[in-house]
Amino acid sequence: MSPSIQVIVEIGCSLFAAIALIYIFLPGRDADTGVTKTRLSYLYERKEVVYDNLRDLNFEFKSGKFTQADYEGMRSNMESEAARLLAEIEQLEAAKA
Amino acid sequence: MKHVFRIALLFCALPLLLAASGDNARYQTVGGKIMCMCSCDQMLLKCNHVGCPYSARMISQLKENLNKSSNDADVLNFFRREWGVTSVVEPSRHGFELLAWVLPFAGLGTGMVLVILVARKWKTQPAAGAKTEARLDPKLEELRQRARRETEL
Amino acid sequence: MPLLGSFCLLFALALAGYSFIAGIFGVARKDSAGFRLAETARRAGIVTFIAVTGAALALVWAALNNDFSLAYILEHTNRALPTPYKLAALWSGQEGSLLFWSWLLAGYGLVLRLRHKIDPRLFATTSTVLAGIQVFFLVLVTFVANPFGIMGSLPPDGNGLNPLLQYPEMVIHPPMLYLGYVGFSLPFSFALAALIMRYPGEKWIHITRRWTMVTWLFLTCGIALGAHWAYSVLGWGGYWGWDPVENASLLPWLSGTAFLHSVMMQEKRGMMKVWNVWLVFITFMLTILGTMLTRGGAVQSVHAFAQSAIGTWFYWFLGIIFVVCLTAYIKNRDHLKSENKLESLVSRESSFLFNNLVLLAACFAVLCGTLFPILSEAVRGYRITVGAPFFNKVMVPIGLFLIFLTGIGPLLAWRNTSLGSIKRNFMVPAALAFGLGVLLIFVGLKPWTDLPYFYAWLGFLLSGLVVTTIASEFIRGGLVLKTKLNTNLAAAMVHLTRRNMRRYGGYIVHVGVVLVIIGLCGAAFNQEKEQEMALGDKLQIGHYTLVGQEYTQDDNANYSSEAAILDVYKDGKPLVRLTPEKREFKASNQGTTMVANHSTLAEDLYVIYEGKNPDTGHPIIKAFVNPLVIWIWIGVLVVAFGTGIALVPNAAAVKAPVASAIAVVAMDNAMQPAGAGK
Repeated sequence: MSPSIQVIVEIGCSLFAAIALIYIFLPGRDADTGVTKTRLSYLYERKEVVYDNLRDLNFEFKSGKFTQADYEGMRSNMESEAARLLAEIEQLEAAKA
Repeated sequence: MKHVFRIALLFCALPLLLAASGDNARYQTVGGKIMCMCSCDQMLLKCNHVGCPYSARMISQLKENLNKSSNDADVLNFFRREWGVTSVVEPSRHGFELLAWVLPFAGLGTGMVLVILVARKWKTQPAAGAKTEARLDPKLEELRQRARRETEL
Repeated sequence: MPLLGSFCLLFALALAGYSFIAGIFGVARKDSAGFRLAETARRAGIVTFIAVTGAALALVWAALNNDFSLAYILEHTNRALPTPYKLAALWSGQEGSLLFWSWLLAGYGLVLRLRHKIDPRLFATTSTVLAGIQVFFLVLVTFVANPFGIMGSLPPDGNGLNPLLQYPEMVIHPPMLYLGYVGFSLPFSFALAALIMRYPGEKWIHITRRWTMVTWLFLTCGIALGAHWAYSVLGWGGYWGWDPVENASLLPWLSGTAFLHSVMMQEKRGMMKVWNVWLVFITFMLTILGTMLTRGGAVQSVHAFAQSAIGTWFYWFLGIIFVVCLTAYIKNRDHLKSENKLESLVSRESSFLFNNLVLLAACFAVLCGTLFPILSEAVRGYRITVGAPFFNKVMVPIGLFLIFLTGIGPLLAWRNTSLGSIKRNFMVPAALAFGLGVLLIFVGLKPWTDLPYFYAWLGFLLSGLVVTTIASEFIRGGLVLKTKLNTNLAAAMVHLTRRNMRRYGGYIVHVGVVLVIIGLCGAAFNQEKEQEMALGDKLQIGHYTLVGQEYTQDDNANYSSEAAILDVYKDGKPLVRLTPEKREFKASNQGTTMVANHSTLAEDLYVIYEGKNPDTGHPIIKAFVNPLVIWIWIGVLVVAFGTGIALVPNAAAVKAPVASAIAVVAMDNAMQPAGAGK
């Protein structure tokens, strides 16, 4: 490598390092810590999943995959799970209000 | 009817029928377990290395031993003795090498037993309990109805 | 360029080191100062990518400009090497491929760090774990296998690229495979981060699943491209030889596939949390183990870079990862309690359990076969060879059992399925599959004559079962929507897929797997014939007759070649002209086979030119008739398509996205769900 190219490479490397350090250690204003995940937000997340499961079950039953007895047993089971979640959501919402 | 009989026969007498495969099949099967020692890293019958110094000799030994012995294990043992254990790419069925054959299926079997045991331990009867719980608590029953309404198609 | 490359590597190492350490302190402190520190760590991670890119570009530039002052360029390129293969030099040797690995890791890290707003705290912890992995690879590239090592003298030309790699597919096969391998670092980092921070809920697993699917797709394509390359270049008529390096790529693929299935249990039912976390850990450790085995020279392979010095580093890294995972698990295992229990052995859950079990058994079998030579050497003092016959015998029954599970899984309901529901769903697919089995016997397949025929027959039959169950899923769902939306069945099925892209995309992946299985079953009926052929001589194989028309020689700067021009007739009618070739590369003095392949949906006519008989001077031609091989490649395309579908969000979700207020996780245990939610 000729000396002039070497000098250019050395300057380029130093510039790159300087810009990188400025970028790293001078963060902008967008340093966002986000929103705290609460028990309530978790319950809403869970409720969506259980509701999706129930919708899937209803759809699969309509498509003729299960017997009436199987369907009712599974639906009752899932609805109980949903009811427990809804009860806790209501309780926490009331406490918040 | 003849075909139904054939299928039934297949499941009952598979091992006997398999034994009846031809000489060429035996040559291919046993040859497919021996590695060409010319360092081409290919199976003996697949070695496509022109002017290979070993494959012709090894193939003639294979043919000779297949004629001499009806037991494939004897033929493979001949190659293990003559060319070293690395010439046969399949572990033997006795001694330490048997472990290679046993381990995978032992792993599967143990896993299967464990899964069944764990599943049995987990098994509960929540459906009946859930119904009772909901019936006992009118508030929960109301919420169950709400969940049903909100998820109806 | 060596100066630039070395600087970039050192700077990248410093940045990754900072990102790792500042990340640890940043996420450990739960105040705003901690977050600011974590933010600098994130930015350092982003700049790491730029620095590693600089190093990679410096190496590529050196290859393109024939800079033989670099030992790596001297070893892996030469002046006459075509440009695309000069680019491939980046991953064709030990040092370059480790640099490439670091670059891909930094690339994945860049995407992760740019998407941090999805959940800043989870992403900050994940980014820290990833930075730790990055440090390891950068230490290797900088101090153990540096690609910028300089030669004492300047040789006029290089030693050339391994001729086996001078094939178009080789330019994309290693990057795909590496994208797959390296990609598993992300699910691993997410899983470890979520465990360490006791992340509540299953959101993390939702994020991880998508990353895993992308990675799994890359690995699948990488493995398939490797198989296709082996078929097209190695010239032994097959595509999978159970070589330790092939096995090493299959191991994380199998455990990753298991994870993609069991993750549904966690998302839907909040079950199998411990299992899933360990599956992700194991998958990542298998990628490291595979790399260690092949690069450390522990197993003999045509692919292996037999350098034992680097193996020790991987042993240590693997050990550290295991200790970290185990410690994190022991400390936080109460966080992984299941929210639900299995209610029945006949349910979708248990089918997933068995599916996982079989996939892991397959993984264990491959691992046993790969490691047995090492075990034998340690215990008995001699190293035996464990090759294709062993793997075929062990893996085929396991694989068939897996296809059976693929067939019945979708027919079972979540939680519990009664005999009545099973009958309702299973009767038609089972009857159709059985009918297919009988039909195959009628058309001449005699499964009782040989074990491979029996396996092939069973494979076809089970494939029929899987396809009919999947078809019934589409048709049943389509019929419901057809009535509801007042449309035709095809439109209803498209709508059905758009409502649940993941499930129906998954079914399409299963169809692809079935096509691959059909292709693999064809191997039971392979034929081969070798013959010395003078001009005008005929070689008869199956329905084909090959006639030697001309034998040619050629010479260029990179290689010299010999080829045979053969006219092919099928059942006496002219079909095609094939030109199998053999090349001798000048720089490396190594030869390769250029296979001539006439591929149809029914079978491949695969012809190789083996060379000339030194006694007679006549060329030796070897021909194979390999039925159904093309279905393997079609199947892989369908798998890729299905995975793509599964990655697209559902139509309903697009219209009404769920509010994602969840961003940062409260580390306060009082906020943790009691029991459920843990």
